[in-house]
Amino acid sequence: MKLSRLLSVLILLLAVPALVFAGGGREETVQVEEGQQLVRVLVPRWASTGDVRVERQVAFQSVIDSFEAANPNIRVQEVISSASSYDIDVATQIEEGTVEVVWVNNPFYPTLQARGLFADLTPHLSAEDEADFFQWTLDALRSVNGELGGLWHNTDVRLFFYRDDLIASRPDSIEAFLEIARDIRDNEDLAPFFLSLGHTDGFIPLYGVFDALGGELVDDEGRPVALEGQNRAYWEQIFEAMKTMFDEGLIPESTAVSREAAVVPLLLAGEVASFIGNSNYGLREIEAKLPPDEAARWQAAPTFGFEGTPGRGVSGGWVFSARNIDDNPALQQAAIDFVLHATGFSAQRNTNKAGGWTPTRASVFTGDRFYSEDRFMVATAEALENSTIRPLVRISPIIAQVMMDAMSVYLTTNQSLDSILDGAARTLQAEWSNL
Amino acid sequence: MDTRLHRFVSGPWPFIIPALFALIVMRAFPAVWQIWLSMTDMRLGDPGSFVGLANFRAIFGSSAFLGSISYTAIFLVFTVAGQMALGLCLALILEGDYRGRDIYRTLFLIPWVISGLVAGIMWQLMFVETRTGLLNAFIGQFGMNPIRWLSNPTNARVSVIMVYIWKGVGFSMLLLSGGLKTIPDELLESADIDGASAWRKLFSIKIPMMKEIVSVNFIFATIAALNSYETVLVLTNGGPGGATSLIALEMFRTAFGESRNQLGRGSAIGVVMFAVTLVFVIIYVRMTRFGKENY
Repeated sequence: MKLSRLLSVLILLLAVPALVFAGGGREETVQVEEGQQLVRVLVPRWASTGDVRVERQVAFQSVIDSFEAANPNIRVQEVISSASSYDIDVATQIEEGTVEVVWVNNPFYPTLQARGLFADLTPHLSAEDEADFFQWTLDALRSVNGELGGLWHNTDVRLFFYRDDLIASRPDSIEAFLEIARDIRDNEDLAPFFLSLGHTDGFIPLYGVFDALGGELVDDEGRPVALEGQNRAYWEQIFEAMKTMFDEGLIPESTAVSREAAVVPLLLAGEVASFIGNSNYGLREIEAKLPPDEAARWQAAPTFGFEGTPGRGVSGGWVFSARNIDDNPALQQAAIDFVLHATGFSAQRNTNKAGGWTPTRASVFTGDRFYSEDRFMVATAEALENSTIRPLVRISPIIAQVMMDAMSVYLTTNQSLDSILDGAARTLQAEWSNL
Repeated sequence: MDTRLHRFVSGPWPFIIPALFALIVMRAFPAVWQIWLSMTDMRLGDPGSFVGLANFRAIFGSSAFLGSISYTAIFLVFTVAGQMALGLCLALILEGDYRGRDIYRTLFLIPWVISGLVAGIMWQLMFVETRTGLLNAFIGQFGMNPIRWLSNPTNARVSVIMVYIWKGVGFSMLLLSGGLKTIPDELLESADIDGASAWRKLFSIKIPMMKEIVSVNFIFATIAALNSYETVLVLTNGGPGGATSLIALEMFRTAFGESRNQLGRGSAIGVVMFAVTLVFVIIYVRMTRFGKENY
């Protein structure tokens, strides 16, 4: 037989199993002794011991080590997923039962929880823990079907960041801020304000304003009512306020297409006086990238609403959930124990600090020096006291996209607000009927 | 060795089977699966159920999708024409035998090689709309006011097309350079002797002689443009107000964007794209007579 033909046959023989067994995530090999339970935990690379940042490697390893030390009959195996396909990995691995615990982004939680895929943690949560977690995290997780299908590990909240040499203190309302912004526009050579307005990033703080006004995105059945009755009037008020800022040059026109992160080049170039951004911008951008004297000028405070409505912070974040395992009570208990451990005081303190995220337990803010003293974290804690989260229903991401598309059209074209909101309302109802 | 086994091993199948297997697994199965998905309301994490043509009714009733069709048509015309015209210019410039020619050719190829997402991030930084944005700082040197590259709907449409021309021009240059090399020197020398101008040689000899390559370039550039979404996702995410939304981007946003996870609906958009792409593929296959000599 000629060599080339032999090689072809060999390639064929090798290709078949290679294609059949080609897989996504990396799995650490963990030795399990007889009588031990193996808990496999699905995490994205950037929140694992496989991340390139040493502080994250150490923090996540410490969670596993401390759990195994306290539970000698349980071994933990990280299943590290590529972040680009993480939601797909979560869906498939939960479905196939190849992991026992997942770290899931909150907008994806309701789809899985509505199908009863996660274990109810309510019977396992102590009264002390119940009181320590921010109440909105527990309420949101229970809002899907009444069960607690996970525990919130880390969160964030939108904050108003401002330079204290240009803005003496946090304004009380949007109306008060407009006056300050006009003054900056007339007397300083920089943009008074930045807020993403053409991307769903911008929906988060605007939802805070809407919520503070008393608006509701969906009714009790989950039907979108965001553009009906008084809710529509609230959105009109918000759209008009943003249009005023846009037309008066109080906010860069690029905000009509920008994500929230587009503020960073302006921040570094000293071309913006204030902005609304994720609470971790204080650590990740201001402290990390600006010279100390410039960074010292930046302060943060909770966001604000219209006059008479205090405004409200809006949070997001990630949740640890244990898969429902009916046929193996011991493994079920081990998975639940790991979720409780990974969201406990020590784990939250270490992993959130390493990741630059925000804990979901009040005790971490009071019991850890960094969280109780850092000025950005103090502002974060203040905002979290009065924060909320977008309803955990499947229509929520669609509402965000439709509303921000409408905002972008309103800011950049001559179409009337009425016709734009009418179109958005029709789209929402059509989407709802298709769900 | 058994005769049948010997016949199998010494025949064409050891060469064909690996490719056939890969084609079925990597191409045919996903295509059939996508058509099935387009008729379900499947979401990530929820298998959904069969809904017939409901997804197609929904997308053709959606103003966002119809808007994306109209911009995609404009985008295709200008991007493909721009890439081919500039590619031809570069191929002609690099046709001569001079020092550093290969270095220039490599430099022009770099945009085509780099990832669409990286290109998007790079151009996003250049398009920063304040006076310190790279492009605005440059035009500011000539006393011009900053331009709203991405936040003005018309400018955004033009900017996106510009970026895609920049990204694809290297590929056209490469193909057309190859085409120019196939033209017999005798023909061009005869034209020189007859006193033909450079323009005359270009339009009467070079372009007609590389008609096949130009057609292939057209088809490939069109298919690549039709499937583009990464760069525009980073640059504008389809904004402002949907002005730069391409069909492929609409598919991505529906299926994977912002936790919408509507795989069934996204697949329906993919099937529409597949049908449009298929038209160009059929033209290409007929034109090249599926590998047979055309002349």
